[in-house]
Amino acid sequence: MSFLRLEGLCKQFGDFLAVDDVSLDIEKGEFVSLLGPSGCGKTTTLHMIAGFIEPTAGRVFINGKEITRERPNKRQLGIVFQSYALFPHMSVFENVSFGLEMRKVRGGERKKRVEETLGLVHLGDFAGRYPSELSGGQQQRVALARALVIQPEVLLLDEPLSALDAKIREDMQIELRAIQRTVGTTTILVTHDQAEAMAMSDRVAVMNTGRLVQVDPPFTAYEHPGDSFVSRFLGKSNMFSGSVESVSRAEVLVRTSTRIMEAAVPRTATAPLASGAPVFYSVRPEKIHLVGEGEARLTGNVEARIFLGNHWVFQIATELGTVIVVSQNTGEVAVAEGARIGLDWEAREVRVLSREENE
Amino acid sequence: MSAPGSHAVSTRPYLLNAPALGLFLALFVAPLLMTFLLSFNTFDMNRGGILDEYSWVNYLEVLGDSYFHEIFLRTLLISLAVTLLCVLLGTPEAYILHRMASPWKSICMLVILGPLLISVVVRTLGWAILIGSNGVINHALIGMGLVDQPIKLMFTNTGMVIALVHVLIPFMVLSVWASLQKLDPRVESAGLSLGATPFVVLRRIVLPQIMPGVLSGSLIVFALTASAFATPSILGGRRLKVVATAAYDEYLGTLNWPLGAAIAMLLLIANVVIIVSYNKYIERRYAQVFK
Amino acid sequence: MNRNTPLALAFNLIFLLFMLAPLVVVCLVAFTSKGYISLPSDGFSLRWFKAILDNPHFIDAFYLSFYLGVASATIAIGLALPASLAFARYRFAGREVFLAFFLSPLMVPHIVLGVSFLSFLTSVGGYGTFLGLVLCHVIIIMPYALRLVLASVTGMDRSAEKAATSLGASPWVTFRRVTLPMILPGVAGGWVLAFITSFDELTMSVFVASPSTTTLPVRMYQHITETIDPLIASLSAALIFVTMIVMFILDRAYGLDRILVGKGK
Repeated sequence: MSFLRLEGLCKQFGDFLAVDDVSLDIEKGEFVSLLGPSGCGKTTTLHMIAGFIEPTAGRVFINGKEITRERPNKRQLGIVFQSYALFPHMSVFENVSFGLEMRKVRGGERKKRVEETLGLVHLGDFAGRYPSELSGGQQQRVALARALVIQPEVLLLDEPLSALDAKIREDMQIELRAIQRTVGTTTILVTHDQAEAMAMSDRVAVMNTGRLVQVDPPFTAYEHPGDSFVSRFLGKSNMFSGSVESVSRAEVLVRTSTRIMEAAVPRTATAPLASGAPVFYSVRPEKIHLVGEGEARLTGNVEARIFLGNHWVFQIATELGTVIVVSQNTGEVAVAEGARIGLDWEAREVRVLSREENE
Repeated sequence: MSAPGSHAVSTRPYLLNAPALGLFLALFVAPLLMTFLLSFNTFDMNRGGILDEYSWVNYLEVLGDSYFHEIFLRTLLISLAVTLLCVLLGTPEAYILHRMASPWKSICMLVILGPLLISVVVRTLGWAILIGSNGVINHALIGMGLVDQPIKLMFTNTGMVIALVHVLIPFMVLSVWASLQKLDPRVESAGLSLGATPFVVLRRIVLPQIMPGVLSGSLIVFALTASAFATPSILGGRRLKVVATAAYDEYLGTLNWPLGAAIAMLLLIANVVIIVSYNKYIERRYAQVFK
Repeated sequence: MNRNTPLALAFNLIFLLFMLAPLVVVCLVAFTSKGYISLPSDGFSLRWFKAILDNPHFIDAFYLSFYLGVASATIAIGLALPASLAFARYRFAGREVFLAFFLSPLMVPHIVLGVSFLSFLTSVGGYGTFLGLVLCHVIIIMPYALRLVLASVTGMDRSAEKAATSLGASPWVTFRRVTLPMILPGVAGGWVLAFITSFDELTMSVFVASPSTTTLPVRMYQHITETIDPLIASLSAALIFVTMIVMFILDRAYGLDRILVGKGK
């Protein structure tokens, strides 16, 4: 059995099914993100693991032992909250020491462990300060140290970086990941930020409307999204509505509103594609090349051109609607707004994703 | 599937409320009910005071006697005058405070709100010393040769109104101040940037938004004036009675408790009716501002 | 920053003078050397402050009011704290009714409460007892205590409690080590406001106080209705000084407007 196992977890609030049959196996030392839009059930799932919310159905195991009904103060978990939830009336040292006091760790040993952990998060010099005297990033580290000092079996991070400025957030992502590697604690991160999830995790678990949609390493999930929701949620994608024209061994032909386009057979199709099935023909913006009109699969007019330093973003009006293209800044000024341009891509970069009839 | 201790969860809020509830039932509901019943008792000095007979006689006496009419009318007029003055003086003062810069603002707040922490007896004493016929104001006026005779303010309605405005205006300022705090200062700037004059901004943008504060402040002032005791008693003297002092006299002067209870009940009913209906009106009228 | 016009500042000045005048005049008269109400024209004298100490009626009444305030404020907080936890953290049938009920003494004129408490205490034999007086005061100050305590319980970030729980603290340890210290400022503010309200209360107490349980405001009121002399002015001045000190401390700690916003409604 895996180290942390969620088995058919459900949570019902009145008529609303917040978490719907979530099962997940996490290995010891692994870093997994629960990723999804707000209201997808990711925080509820985390709180069920922590014991703050009682599951309507399902079970939670840590290290082979069932803890579904265990009181939250008896579970060996470290939690970092979105608001940090530091104790404002205690110093940094007292905050971190609190969990050890509860475990009756004695004075000298306690002091040593608190100092070690504060060193780990680079706050060794701040032990005597109070939370209100620290910056957001420092408070974040105190919260992390407080959760780690008890050497928890699992570390739960509930949107821990969302209150930080963009720049500090990126630094903290790298640092948090490094600390997690050092201590090797099994970690679950709840976030709605796909970049954060991909940057930090071994695997991302994408949730939507209470269900677990896809669990994969970040690269796999991005390159081979299981459905149109994952494709849209992890990065951007150009999605053309259409239906399957024909399927051969090597390729699928998709009929869109104006033309038939080819794609490689998807590796991770959720269901075998049948002729006439409604699908999206999906290409990521960075997989599209700007080419001359003649050699193009699609042509259009450059509506808008945005320069973002290391890359350009183009909005191109085509017969299939507006297409977004991202291209690397190669040091030359890109095509001007208003220009007529061709778009091309490899058939193997296309994903054919199933679609609801009216989508 | 029921949570462990879910039974405890459902009874716990009631257990937490139980001590306060017990005290309130014993010492709030029971005494008010007793007074309500007492107000229907008959009183006859010659037959031994409070009799075990129930009737409307006390209410009929209060409602039919011109002596009590005058008292209720005086109370109403004083309350209206005090409320009006508090609105006219307190609202602009709150707005001026709102526009003040930091150190002066808190000093002024302290001067205006501080008296709330000082006993009404002390504050009324100050007015008695100021407006008495041998008082400071008359001394000053005569000393400066502005008047020959002392102005009579002590034991007059005017004197009572002045002192009651002093006692109650902090509530008005506080209430308007609280609603000004919710005002986004950029809204005023937006109004000015659109070409409105400061006066138009005040009238069209600020005033409508602080109206709930003005209205709830005036409700507090009105209700507290109508039931004020210390100030009317000290500054009004024996002659100028209001409802509260009349009830006091029936209880502790003539010992006619049932009649005093009837006066108190009428005051309570009037108070509750006015507060509840006025609140309903404000909530309906300004529902969108409260959201 | 918006600036006030000179007219507005003049208005403000007159307003402040109006607010201060009666208090200043009391303080000045208190220093007179004469035997009647007059401004200290020929030098300040402390004679009337010394006279307070020679008047056991006032001294006794002061101690009674002080103990009354301490006892009733403490009981009121003791009742308001669990009730606030219930209001802030549970949705239960009758929640709104309970809350309105505990705030309802604000709607009842003190004179009505006074006559009601008088009848009640007389019939149960509580008239003239300190306990009876305390419990009546608890009813009156409960709304103030409840408002401030409830505001601080509602405003508290509950994830700090969850954090403590996840770190292994039992519910009781969490309450004692985390919840209570975090709501303490609001609780202390509520206590002080409740104490002051009790200490200053006249209208209700004038009915309930017996000759042996006369509070300071009642004693002062009785004195004023008979005579207004420099003694009562010096006593009032002393109260004003003490209140000013308390006020400065409160203002530094919480901001006076924040505490008193609850007092209005």
